[in-house]
Amino acid sequence: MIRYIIKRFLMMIPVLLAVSFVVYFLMDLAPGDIVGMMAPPDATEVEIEMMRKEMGLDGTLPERYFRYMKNLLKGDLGMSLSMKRPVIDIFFERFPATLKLAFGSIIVAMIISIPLGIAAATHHRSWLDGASMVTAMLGLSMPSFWLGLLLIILFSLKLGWLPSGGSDGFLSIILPAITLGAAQAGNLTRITRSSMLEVIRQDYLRTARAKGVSEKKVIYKHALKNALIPIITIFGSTLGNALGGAVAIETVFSWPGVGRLTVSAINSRDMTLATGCIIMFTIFFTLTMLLVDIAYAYVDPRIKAQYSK
Amino acid sequence: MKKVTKFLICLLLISLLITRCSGGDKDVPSDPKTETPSGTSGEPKYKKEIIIAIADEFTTIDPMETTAESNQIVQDCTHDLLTDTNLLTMQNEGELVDSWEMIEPDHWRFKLKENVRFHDGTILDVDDVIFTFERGKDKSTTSAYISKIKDFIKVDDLTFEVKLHNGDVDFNYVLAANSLAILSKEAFETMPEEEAVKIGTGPWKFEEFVPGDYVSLVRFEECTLYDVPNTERLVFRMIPEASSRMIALENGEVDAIMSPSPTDYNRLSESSNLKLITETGRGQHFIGFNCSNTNSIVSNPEFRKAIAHAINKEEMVIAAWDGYAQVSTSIMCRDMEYYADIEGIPYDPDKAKEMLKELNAEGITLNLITSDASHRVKMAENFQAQMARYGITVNVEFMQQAALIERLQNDKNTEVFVLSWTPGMNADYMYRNPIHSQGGRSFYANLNNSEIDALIDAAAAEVDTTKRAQMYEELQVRLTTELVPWVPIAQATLTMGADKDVTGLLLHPGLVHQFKTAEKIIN
Repeated sequence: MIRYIIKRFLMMIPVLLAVSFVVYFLMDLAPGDIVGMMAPPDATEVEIEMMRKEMGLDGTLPERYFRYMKNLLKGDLGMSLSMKRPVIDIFFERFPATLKLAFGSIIVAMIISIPLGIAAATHHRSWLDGASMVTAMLGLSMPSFWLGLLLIILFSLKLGWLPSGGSDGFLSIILPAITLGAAQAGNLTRITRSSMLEVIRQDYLRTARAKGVSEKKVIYKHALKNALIPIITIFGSTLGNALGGAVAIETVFSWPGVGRLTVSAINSRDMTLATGCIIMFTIFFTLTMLLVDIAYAYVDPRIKAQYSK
Repeated sequence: MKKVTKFLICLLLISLLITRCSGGDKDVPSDPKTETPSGTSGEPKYKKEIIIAIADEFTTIDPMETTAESNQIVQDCTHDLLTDTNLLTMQNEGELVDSWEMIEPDHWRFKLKENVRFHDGTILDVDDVIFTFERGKDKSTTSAYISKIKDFIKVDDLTFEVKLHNGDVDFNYVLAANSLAILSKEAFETMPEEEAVKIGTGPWKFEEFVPGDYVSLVRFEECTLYDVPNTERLVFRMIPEASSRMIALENGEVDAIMSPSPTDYNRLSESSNLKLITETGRGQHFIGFNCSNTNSIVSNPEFRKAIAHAINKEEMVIAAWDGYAQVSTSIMCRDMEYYADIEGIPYDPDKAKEMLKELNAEGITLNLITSDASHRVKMAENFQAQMARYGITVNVEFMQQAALIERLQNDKNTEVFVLSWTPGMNADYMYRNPIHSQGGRSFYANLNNSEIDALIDAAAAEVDTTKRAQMYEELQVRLTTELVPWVPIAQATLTMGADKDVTGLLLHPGLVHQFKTAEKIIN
């Protein structure tokens, strides 16, 4: 198992190298010069070149990339060009908010999707199954930007129960977590349903029923145990998506997360900040997937046995 | 089953822990609905905290680090400049400076106000000004201003003289640059730099900054330069989405919002609890031409004049700003010194058709570039529609602002562009960067006219204000009606939405709005 974990860690290196290469070169290819944008209108060419050197943007693209990578290997993601502060500090100032929203949305998604998926599977081809799938499709297809605004209008403006934005306290996470969780719940409901449908047709459940075990016990004790295993795998990618895909929600709810920061860095051509944020996202995403794989092995003895060989 | 259950329980606990840890102990803005009166019996009672929703991110309190308006709005509350624009009179006046004298255009004397206290308790003197200028020498936001100074002479604790490399009769305006806010020398000697930059002389002291969320200020009780604010705490909350800002205002979560969406203007002005605050902005929005592109008809001034006659500016103002803009007749912005009310080139479609026919310009195709800002997109589309009436096809290309600027600076084949220019208060700033061939990097129209260059230089050096006014009027007329590097369209209206009882919110034509005296009397 330990060998497997080390192997997975080593596999992260080429992934990170590829991501840094692609992001750095794409950012450089994008039109627009941050130095030109930041310099006062009456700055001379000499002053602009001075600024370019100060920001570490002098030299050819490969030179700059290797300089960047050399510093990255020392754990230095560089200074933000627009904020003039270390990228690592800026990232970790905003990351807790993103993590909080991601976990909040996962909780919402699980609360909605697991009961709904089970209900749909146990009442296969009934009106309940149809209603569950329609609800799941609604969650998947509703634009989160639009859903967020609707929820704000209802719960903040009309009812006055919840704040419309910001990140002050527990109440402020409810609406963004529901908005982000709704789309994830749609996906998870469909997976829970199909996973349960597969499991409840298994012979061992038929045996349990034949032995006189109550239907409730068959579903919740025997079927759910096995049906939940694929959901854990999906949980990893869902969490990864929640970490990186919450830009619209962070904007609507003025949530101070990393998604908004990254988009703002890209728009302002802050190459070091954008690249740094994306590299950090990649690290967290691959770590999450690794943890999920370990958890998967923990709950499924067959996988554990496979790793042990 | 047990393992799966354990895993899910662990996940829930971790999530709850993260949620509580990152949200529970933060000193967040208190509930704005909890209004604590600060006055004593018989005196007016003020709301304890005013919350302003800003659209862009605040990133630093250091005035020398960026020139972004979202930072400067906050810095304006905490730090002061030697001179600044009085938003009520629109005149350049002393802020930390009590008086000044231009001995020669290249030799100025300034006297500081007495007993101006910094937030760290020290009193402002000339050493603080010298320190600030020294610190700014290597900063990209200030070096261009400070490099104008040849010698800095300390006469006494409150008086200093500056000698310039070249004469500048508008040097007092240079000192109004927000990045030149005066810092405390002693603070830098006794505190780490990140703490020292927070120390200014303004009526508000820096309190807390939560990146991406809010920045809060508390009133400076020992302030000597201004009356101590009636509000105890001023909070700037970052809400990027216009509709979310509007909802927060309607919900009473904030007291004022920057840049409301034009679709909300009516709701604000018709509401019994809210108000729409407006002010004509200094930004001149225009259709510009690359006058040096000799491969294109746009290099012909007669063609540019014909286009100026062809554009119905009123129609474009309705299309781009729902009517919330003032049509421009001159290239020069309205509220600036030496602005002359000239007629410009009037809308005359018949004359335009006649001129275009003479130039064989019917049926031609023009290429227009602009950024993806919504008003520019609408201006470009309206221009395209208007030109179609004259048989001119306009191909429009939208791009991000950074890409647009790079294209305008480097692409010699540019023909037409939609852009805006927001100058400082002094007239020289209006012309030097975008019009003078040696003026700077905003020279996108590539006019390259030596007579105009000479006139700009002569006006900037002229001490006699009457002669100067004549020169600037000549510049205005020649550029607007004869050379036409731009067709000026309009100066857009700046807007802010607010609770109807909140006062002290001043819109700045140059976008650095002022909130120093923001307050709300409560019953």
